[in-house]
Amino acid sequence: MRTPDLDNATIVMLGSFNPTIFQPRWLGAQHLIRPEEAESAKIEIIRAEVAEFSTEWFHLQVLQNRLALSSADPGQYSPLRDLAAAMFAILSHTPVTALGLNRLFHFKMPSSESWHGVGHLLAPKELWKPIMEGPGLRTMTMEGRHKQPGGGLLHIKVEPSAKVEQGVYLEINEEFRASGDSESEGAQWVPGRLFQHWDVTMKFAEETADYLLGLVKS
Amino acid sequence: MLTSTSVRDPVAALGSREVGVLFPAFEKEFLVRHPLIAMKTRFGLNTDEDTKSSPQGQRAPSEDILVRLPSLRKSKWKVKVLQRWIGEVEQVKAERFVAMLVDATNSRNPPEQVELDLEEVSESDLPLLAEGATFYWSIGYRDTPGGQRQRISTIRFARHPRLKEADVQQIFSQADLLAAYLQK
Repeated sequence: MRTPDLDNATIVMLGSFNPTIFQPRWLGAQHLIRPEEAESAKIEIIRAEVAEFSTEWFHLQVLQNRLALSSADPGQYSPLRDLAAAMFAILSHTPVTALGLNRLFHFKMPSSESWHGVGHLLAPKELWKPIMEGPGLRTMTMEGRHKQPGGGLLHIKVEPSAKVEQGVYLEINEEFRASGDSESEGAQWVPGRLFQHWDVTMKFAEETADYLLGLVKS
Repeated sequence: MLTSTSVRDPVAALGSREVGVLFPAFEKEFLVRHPLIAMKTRFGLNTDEDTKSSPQGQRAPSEDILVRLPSLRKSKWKVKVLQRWIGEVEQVKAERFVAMLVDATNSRNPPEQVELDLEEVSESDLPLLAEGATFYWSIGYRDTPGGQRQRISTIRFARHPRLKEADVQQIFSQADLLAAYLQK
């Protein structure tokens, strides 16, 4: 895979959560993170409505309807999956309605031409020139099904990077929905999906980035 | 969204040059206070975030006061992984342990057996070191906020929830039943 300037993996869950549970000390008490990590975690906020903290290798934000667990260290993406799976193996009755596996890249393009080439390739300007002056691509999201059997719904977003100059931002999201009644099923389906699909989605994201950027002449 | 105090006309800035992408304004040094709606958006309270399983994208963290925005690239450690393995402990010796490694960077490479020093393992992971334990090993570079590139080797043992006593008893009961059935 070509080397991104910034790389992030995020696990997002939708459902009904109790943010106050998700504290570093709880994770430490469950032996899901190291005791030192639990002690040294940087807590942003822990309230009934929201919990947010970070350690050296992951960041967790929990709202009453949404949980996001992320890491910017590619060496820790497997432990990130393990952590999410373990949390919801313990909290198996938490209603989780959807699970999103996400990979976010920022790639610095080698030249201005190749950077603009991404926009020209994905959004040809001829269509827009009759109605706009200086049309350019701000954001594009494509949706489709994963070709792999049992795969989820894919969203692939392309934008100019807001963090890397002359960069392209790629966001690959694969979403899975609870198959039955989330109230009764809880989160029991989550660990299995994570172990089954995480590595596949991460690999797919890398191949997608290579494919899309490979289409542009450098 | 961040709002720049220096508003520019993107079309005028382009002149007659044809562009493929419109770049978000980079003049972020001075920011204005977020409207309330932006703060709500950060916590997904008033948008369709509750239907999206994607993260909050490249939206910058909330800066709701007039501040100079630090460089997003330099504000965090950046890690570049060169090689990743998934290891399974096969044998624990006095000062070393033997493990089978699977190459997670290139799955076409065959598994290989290695012997590692116990000193490589973080002290708080030592209780997890046992035959059959899984660990993740990566080597790469870490760029510090100060610009120093460091070569790093990270070993982290997999952590799984501890089984409850009732679950353990149930597993043993099932094993006893199966053993009794097989002995018939």
